[in-house]
Amino acid sequence: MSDRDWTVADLMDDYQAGRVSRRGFVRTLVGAGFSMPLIVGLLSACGSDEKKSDSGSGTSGSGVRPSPVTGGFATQAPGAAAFTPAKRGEGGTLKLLWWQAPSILNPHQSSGTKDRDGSRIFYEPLAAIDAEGNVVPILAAEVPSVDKGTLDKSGKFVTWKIKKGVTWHDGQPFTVDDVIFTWKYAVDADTAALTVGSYQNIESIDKVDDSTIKVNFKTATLEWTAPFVSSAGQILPKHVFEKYLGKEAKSAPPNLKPVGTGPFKINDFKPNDIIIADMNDKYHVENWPYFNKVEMKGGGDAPGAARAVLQTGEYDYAWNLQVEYSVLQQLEKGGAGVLAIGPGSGIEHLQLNYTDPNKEVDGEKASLKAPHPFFADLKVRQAFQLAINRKVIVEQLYGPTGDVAIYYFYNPKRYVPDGGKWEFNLQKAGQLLDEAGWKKGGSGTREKDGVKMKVLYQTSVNTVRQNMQAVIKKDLESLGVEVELKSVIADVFFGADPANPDNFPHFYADMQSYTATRSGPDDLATAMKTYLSSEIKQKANNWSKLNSTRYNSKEFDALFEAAVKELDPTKAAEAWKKCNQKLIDDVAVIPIVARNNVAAAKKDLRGMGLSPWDSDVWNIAKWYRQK
Amino acid sequence: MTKFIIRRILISVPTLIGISIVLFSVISLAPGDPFGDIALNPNIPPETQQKLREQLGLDDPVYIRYVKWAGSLARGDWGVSFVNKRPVWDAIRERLPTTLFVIGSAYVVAVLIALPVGIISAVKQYSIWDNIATTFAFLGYSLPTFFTGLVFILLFTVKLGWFPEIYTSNIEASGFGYITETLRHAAMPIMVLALFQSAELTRYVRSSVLDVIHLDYVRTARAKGLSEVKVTLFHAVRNALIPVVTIMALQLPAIFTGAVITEQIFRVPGIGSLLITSLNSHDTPILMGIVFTYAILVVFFNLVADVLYGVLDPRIKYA
Repeated sequence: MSDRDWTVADLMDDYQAGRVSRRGFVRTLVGAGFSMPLIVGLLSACGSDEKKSDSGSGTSGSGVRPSPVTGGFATQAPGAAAFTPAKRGEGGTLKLLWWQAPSILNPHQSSGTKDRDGSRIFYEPLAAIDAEGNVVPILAAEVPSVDKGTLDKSGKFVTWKIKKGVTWHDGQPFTVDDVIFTWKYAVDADTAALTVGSYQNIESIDKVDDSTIKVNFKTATLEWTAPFVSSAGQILPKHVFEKYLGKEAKSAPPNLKPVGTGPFKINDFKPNDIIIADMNDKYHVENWPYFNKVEMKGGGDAPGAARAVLQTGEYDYAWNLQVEYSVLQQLEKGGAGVLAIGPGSGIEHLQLNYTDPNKEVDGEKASLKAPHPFFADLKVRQAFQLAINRKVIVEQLYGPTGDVAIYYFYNPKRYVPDGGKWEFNLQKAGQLLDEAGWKKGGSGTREKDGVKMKVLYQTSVNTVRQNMQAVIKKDLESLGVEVELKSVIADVFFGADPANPDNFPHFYADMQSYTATRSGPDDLATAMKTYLSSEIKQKANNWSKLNSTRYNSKEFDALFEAAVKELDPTKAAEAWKKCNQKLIDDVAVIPIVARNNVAAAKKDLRGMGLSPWDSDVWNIAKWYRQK
Repeated sequence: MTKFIIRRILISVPTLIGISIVLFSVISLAPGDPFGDIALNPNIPPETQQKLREQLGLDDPVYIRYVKWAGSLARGDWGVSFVNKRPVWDAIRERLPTTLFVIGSAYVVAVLIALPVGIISAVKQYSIWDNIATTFAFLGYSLPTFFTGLVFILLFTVKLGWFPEIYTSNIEASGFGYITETLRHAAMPIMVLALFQSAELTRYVRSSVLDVIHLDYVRTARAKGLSEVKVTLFHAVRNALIPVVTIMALQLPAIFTGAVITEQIFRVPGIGSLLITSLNSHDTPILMGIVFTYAILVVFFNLVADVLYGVLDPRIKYA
């Protein structure tokens, strides 16, 4: 077996057939830069599985997955809560562990999930969004709908009725003025709220009566849930924040001492360390919350947080455990808690650069004027698409915390084309490269017209990502592609500094991968923009736009325009499906892993209803312990 | 002596200014800024991003930002955090008691272990006792705290269940229960740090006692018929500890600034973990607050060490 002609799949075959010893297997993989947990995973996969087909079909994503670990409670809908306490506050203290600590408790002054989660213990939006993408009323009396006339069929307005008898923690009544104020706060230029994106499309808000408002949109939209709903929709009390509008907003004392309508009231907040909250005994839902105290401790790292819940049981719930699955599995054997795996919206994907990162045109690399020497050719991109073994990556690195992704937007299902397929087939990939004129030269590397097929593949520093790089590199090398790996610390890679060529917006490499996230089930317009030709990141716009692959397709632009304009939900879904399909047909992106949200919870904790579209604690009022 | 102290204090002013310039430049030149994560978020328009940068003055050149920072510090104002606009001093003051308690206790424990162990090791050089102590000192000194921390968690939390993995300052018990709970939470970080520091100190104590124990005046003391305990404690150790005291004085600033790694492992809300959080969020004012305070303390305790040396060793005269 020569150094570069094997693939991970071959090696696994050889090992299963007894052609390679266990030691040889391990040594080969170590030599290729694979980490030990991954190798152990591959070994056990060889032992247990018969060789399965390396292609899949059907829409991937948050499908039904045999998940012994979730016990089904992770996606339990709150309405289905079988348990109603006889009185509030009988559950004692709920101990939450966020390995990134909240530093500010104003959901509009931070874009950090940790801060918005911390705020959500105290503040509430008009409605939340559950795992299936349904709107669940919180401060609203009912969900707006076309049938009741509260939702405009042509997407121009939405009418919200708020719940009556709700009071703020300081005793003041909650009114529609607070809702209107929240909009003004979010869009005020000097306040520079980070939730502005959700409120920008509001033209005006009419106060219909004391408990009803009509929100008029600038441009007709299907995304009426952007403002006042879920994390970015948390309503602020007008009487508290009124005097801090504008430049004073950032230093307002209530940013650290929230006054909300939520199930818990602030007791103590030590920024970057701990939040202590007491039950709100005037909470607007009878008999809830179940717990009479919440402690949210922050800091440390994700594996440590997982240990504190799964193994030692010191805490009840830990959030966002992006840790190698083998590590989580090991900890789960501790028996104190279980992994709560819920559907996600993050997509770990591979981008191929459409422009040449090695050629400088007018002082700019990866310029639109310099097409990539081989990725500009669809056949080459298709070959690369075929050479990514998504199954090995998902099964070995993510386990149940991820699924093979076929489409860039895989959730909710209504936007995903039916019957999508993916394939891992190195032979076919080789043929495509041959056809495109990239033949293997003497050194084993493919070349055409004196250009060698050499790629630089970059991503952020992260064990899982480095392992994924190793898997992809190995398969590409067996195809005759020379691969150089580069990993950049996350701070720099995800930064936006126009002067730093190592970050993802510059994309001064041939391939890069990372996870793209979304903010709501219907935010496709915002998220799909990433592939518009008008959004291409270039020096001229300081790389501040959204399209880093520099995919430039008039056809996609047209499909996008058509989808955005479509206001009939069913037709819009069809239009988005076409965009979704186009991205895959053109290999504008290679989706790899549909990532699930992973948390850990004590065995008896129930009622979380984890949703990818909302904060982990959106339903905290109704969390409870099963006796 | 007074002259010497005044001169040293005067010299330390330009030193500190130099240090602050270097620190500020390094922190400002490091890649990334407080709004790094925002770049990924298509929901935040560029105008808002620009506004945020302007409000924090991030678009000014480094030297202007430095002059602004130094100017307000000269008026006693440490500035406010970039992240939540909280005064830097409040953030530090909130963390200081925890750091002083955990790191300070660890230091006391370390000294209490190191002194007897080091002295006995030296007196009974090459005995079994000395070999064991030296081995432990080497182990403790060479094992990094992130490793011993994890081993301790595995042993005391996972296997034995004695101590909690996660430190909390929010202890609900009162009275005696409060004390035992606090100690239970602090036990592991204190042990980890004490192990490391005592290992280091033991080696200093041992070698400086060894330096004096074979000197003539010690032999003379013995010849006078004094008991071995008296010879060791009042003649040998007294002189041997002069360099040790200096070293201890030089290590004192660390008690105020925390132990970055240990605090992170056990989630001790001390200055060290504040430093890490601020580094990750590029919170320059807090970072400067912590590292510059550290610089001041280092300069100060250097002076203290020099003065102490003069006091303890009459042969040394400062002019």
